[in-house]
Amino acid sequence: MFKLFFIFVFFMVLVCNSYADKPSDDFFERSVRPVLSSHCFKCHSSIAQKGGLRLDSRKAILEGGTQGVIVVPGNPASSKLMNAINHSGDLKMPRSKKIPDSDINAIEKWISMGLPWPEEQNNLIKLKNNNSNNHWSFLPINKSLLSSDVKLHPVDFFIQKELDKNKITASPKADKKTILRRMKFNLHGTPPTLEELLLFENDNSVDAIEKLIDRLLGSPRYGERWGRHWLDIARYADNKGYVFFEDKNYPWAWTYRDYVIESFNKDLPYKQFLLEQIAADHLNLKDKKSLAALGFLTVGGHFMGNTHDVIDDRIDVLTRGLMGLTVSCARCHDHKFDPIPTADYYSLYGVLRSSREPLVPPLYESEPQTDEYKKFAGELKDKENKLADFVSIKHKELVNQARIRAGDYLYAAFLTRNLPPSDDFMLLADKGDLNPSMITRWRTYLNRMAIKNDSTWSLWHRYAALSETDFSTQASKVTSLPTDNPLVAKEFVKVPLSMKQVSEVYEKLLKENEKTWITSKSFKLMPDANAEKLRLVFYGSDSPADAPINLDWGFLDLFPDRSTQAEYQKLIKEVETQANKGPARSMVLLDTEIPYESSVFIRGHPNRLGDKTPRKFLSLLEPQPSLFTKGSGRLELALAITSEHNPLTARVMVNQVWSHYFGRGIVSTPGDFGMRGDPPSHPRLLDWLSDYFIQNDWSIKKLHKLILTSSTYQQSSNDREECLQKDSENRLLWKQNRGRLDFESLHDSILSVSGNLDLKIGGPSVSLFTGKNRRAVYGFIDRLEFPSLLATFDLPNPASASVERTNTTVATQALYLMNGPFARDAARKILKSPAIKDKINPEDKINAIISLVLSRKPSKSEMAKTLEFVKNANPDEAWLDLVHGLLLTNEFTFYD
Amino acid sequence: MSFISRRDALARVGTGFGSMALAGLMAEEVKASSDNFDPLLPKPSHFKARAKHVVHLFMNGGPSQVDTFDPKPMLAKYHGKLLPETNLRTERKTGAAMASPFKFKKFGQSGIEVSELFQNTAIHIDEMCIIRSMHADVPNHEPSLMLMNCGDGRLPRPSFGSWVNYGLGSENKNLPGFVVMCPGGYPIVTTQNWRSSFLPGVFQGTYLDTKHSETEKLVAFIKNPEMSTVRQRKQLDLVRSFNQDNLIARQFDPQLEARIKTFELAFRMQSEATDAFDLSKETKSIRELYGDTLHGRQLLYTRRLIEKGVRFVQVWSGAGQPWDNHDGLQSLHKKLADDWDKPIAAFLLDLKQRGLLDSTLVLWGGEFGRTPVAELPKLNGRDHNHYGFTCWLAGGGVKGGTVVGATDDFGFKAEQNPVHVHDLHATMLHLLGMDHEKLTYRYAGRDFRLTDVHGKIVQQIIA
Repeated sequence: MFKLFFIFVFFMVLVCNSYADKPSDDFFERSVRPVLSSHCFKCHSSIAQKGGLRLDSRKAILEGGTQGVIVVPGNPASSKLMNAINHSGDLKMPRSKKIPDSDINAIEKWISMGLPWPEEQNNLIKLKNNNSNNHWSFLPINKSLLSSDVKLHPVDFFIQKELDKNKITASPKADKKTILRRMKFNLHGTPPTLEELLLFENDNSVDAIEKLIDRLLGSPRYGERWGRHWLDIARYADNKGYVFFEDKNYPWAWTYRDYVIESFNKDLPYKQFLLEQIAADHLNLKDKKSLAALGFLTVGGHFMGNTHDVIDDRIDVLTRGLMGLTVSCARCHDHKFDPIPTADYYSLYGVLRSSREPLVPPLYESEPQTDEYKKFAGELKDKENKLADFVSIKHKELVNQARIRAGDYLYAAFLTRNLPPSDDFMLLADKGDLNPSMITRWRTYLNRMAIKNDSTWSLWHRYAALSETDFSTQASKVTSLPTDNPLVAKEFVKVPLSMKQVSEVYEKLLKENEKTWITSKSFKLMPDANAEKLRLVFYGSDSPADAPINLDWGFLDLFPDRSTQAEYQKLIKEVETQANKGPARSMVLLDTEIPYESSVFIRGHPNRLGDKTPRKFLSLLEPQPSLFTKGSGRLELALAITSEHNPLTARVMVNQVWSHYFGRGIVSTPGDFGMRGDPPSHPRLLDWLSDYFIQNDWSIKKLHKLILTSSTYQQSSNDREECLQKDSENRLLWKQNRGRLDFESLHDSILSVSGNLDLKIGGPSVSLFTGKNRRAVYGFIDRLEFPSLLATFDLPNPASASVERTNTTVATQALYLMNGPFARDAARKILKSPAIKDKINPEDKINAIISLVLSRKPSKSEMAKTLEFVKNANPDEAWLDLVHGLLLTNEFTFYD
Repeated sequence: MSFISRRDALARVGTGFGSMALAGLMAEEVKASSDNFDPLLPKPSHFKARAKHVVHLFMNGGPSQVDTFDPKPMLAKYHGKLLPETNLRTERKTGAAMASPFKFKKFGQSGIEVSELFQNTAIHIDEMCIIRSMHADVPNHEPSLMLMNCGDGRLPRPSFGSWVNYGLGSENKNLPGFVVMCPGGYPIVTTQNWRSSFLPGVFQGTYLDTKHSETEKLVAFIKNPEMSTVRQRKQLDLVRSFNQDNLIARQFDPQLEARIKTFELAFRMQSEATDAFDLSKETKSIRELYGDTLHGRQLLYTRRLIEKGVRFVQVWSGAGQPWDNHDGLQSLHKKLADDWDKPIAAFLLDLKQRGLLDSTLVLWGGEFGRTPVAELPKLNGRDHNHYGFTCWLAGGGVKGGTVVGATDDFGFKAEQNPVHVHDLHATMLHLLGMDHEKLTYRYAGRDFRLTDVHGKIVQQIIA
């Protein structure tokens, strides 16, 4: 045992380290690249090449800059770079501040090592060329037809082929009772009743099994069972997780849940199912309720209001959830294994950043035509307007202030230039304060202008580089250059005495220029190009003053004073409270008015913008992708995901379905079909099924039926020694795998046998274990306080998409069943059921109990020991203990 | 105690030749026993461990370093005046310097200065390593709690305690491996502080509301309210007999065996847990040492749990954020410290006298510290401060009587030898015998770590 786990750990280590090829690479990535990128790249990389120098590749470093060679590999002492970073000569780099000693030591060590530089890009390209082009899951689905002389069921044909190769035989067909129980749990998640069993056992028609399958697939219980599987992927929960101001609940998450259940029940083609979940708002659907499908994207967590994390979660559910691609790995760097560049991530980011939830979503059903509703809607509209007015006034104020107080902001941006960044946390300010996020905007803007060598700001940056103590003397030496904006240069003929003064000069200039423009009333570009440049500081698309306003994405950051926040919170609450009083609404996502132009966030940092990333699909799946042009591009994205040429979507779904029948997918890593995922055990079967799925109009029910009618599915789950020797994991499926009831099935089964299960379909979520006795799929899922009981029973935490559940057997599960009221109360109810309560004779009573709980008759020995158990005991206690005990048995908890 | 299916275990180790080789090995052992799937069995560490248990005393809300373990005489000089440099931005607006109202005194051989707030704890100063240069990422509670507990400010990652249990397993199969105590409710962001996230649920923290003292109220479902033990044993014997027949008919499927075992374990767990929380088993002098107070009780439970092999115990100050003293800091900090000081001193003494301190790593601290300057407008409290704060470690493998790092003259920002929360995690894992870069779990295509891509071991902490 110890040995085994040691081996597990060993292999984990092996696998996880495989990408750090060499220790030197590791050293570089850990200790050198961060130093270069945080201290040097701003001026010496693809973005800027001060002194003609780039430090972003080994080749460039060896080439040096206008001052010549800067590094002698293996010899730090002779390397100019060392003098510069040690600040030991004339050239001091970085100019602002010496970097920490530990960083200097790392660079020194790195030079001694001879500048090892793992070529990340090259590695990726190499990977691409060598492997990923041929990686099985990126290749089109193999559509080869089965030859006509194949007599076997197609599933059995492919399974049999592998078994033959390994000289193993399939297991015999399971008995009818086993098949019925297996199918009931697979399709409904509840046990068969004794009557159901007798009926099926006595049906000797050839198509008895087929009829059973049709009956089970036709029942609404089917959608409840398979809908729940889907909700795992959709990280369904009834609240947002931790939030500051808004209401934490999603009062209408259930509309999405009901949409899912209904879609399964009516066998909505999977392609359509996905299209609606990604872009229902673009589809002009007949049934208004289908808008609730968008809950797939909106029902995720709120990550304390962090926009980028919310979007990351949505990218993850779309890519890992639907296509088995771990795209969110490319958030900070190109994917280490799969050909997914960071740029692709930010193309998708652009799509989702261009889509947001309205504060008051559309009604789920059609608008009630009652006076009462009209009154309600009017009140709601008033409250919405109040909020909208408040937001727009506040925003106008903010933008105005940013222009009026440009000098203050410039000076504040200057003062805070070396402070640690404070833009990714929540600050509280007072009314009238300079706005911290606006300071950050100005600061980022100035940095951008420095990198661009912008003519309007070049003088600013020359002044800003001077030492503060000796400012005026040094300032007199600063001269304007021909490349400077002459309008700016003119203002600095008189030498400024401090940066404060420089800020004031700029403010005056910008404001006077603004005035000229406004009085001209042309509201067009200014005729003088240099004046136009000044105008753009206030009115350009990247103006620091003109902060974009958006309710969801970052409103609070813009208004960090408590009184504005309190007002905002109050108004939002009023709208929410009012809306919650009315009819249910669909949790939609809508396109923003102007699509967001995304860029790479370098190393995932939102304030470090890289190349522009137009909205488009993954280059891996569409090598010459067309750019998305319709609004956010969500519909185009949905179409690309569901295209029949997309090799992943159908395979991933088929694999999901398969895994619920056999306990494991054909690909055992359902969330990773990439290079590091597990290869399929039966690739041709997976492709044949995927093709079948697409050809049959993406019908999930047809796929079910195909699998369920195979002998592979219907075979016995008993072990056979000779097969265990050859294939202990049963990867080849020489038997069916025994299944254990998951949380929902166990919950529903206990209620079901006790006659307590309420089969009402749909509606708002209910608290579980409070005597409501609805099916578990209708239970309220709390994302913030995810109940430990649910985690104990392996319900996946809805923090992110879950494509497979862990399967643990732990003592705390047993404790709950032994000591908790749930099973005990069910047992009490069972004893009161008409079939049992009137039985006087103990044998009759035992017969009735076992029939009800285990859907069978007791064996002789069981009868004997059970009689023994109730004999001489307090009858009130013993019968209850007996029934309760039966609910704890393995027989109740597993299906063969 | 728990079991993970063989399939899950395999899935976890990843792909390629690893699993192929394993499949081969599994074939040999498949019939050995259902124990194969137990993720909580003790596991060997990567290298020799200095500590086997962790006790995290969580001062939630953020205790002030300059009033506890980081004396700053300069603050007294500047009291009421602005600091020479602009105040660092924290959550709220701050003003002039605020001297500590508490006196500092040298303790022990090492002569490390500690404030009167923790004068009893400080008796053990020579066992303690004071890290005065802690820093975190942001001055807001929620992300800082997440960072301290789960290694990331926002993203849903498993908690420290669950990582440790995943890495080392549990030494007592009858008790949970990760116990969390917080009296009177949850701290903010609630159960996320001890979640297992994508690690299996078995690794999550088991929460106890220590405002109660009866075992049945402390531990959910630990006792059947209507059945005696004798009666329950009889019932479980019947269940076992049904299960045995079922098992024989199904040729000893390890999954079935595993579940049979969990009922036996659960049955034993009832008495073991009841015993763990029965303080009447302690001598009167020990009970008096800890004191009959909330924290006294919490820490006595903790010692009993550690003694029984529980891997990770986290003890919170209380629901919400008790140490978050934006105003009225003097009296509030005094009250909080008074509640903790003697029980901590007793706890350390007791661990020492039982020889448990050597194998137990004790961490004291909050999610961040507080500003040396007063918060506006009331000027009698301090704002959150993530730029510099203090945590201390004691016990297993820790170099006692040492100070690591320093903040600036006023205690605002970690300056010498800054220790990030990731570094603290890396170092603590190291003391537990684990390489923080090798303790990984494959999820969503990535090998996740507690320290993400960060963390360096702080050698000065290690004895």
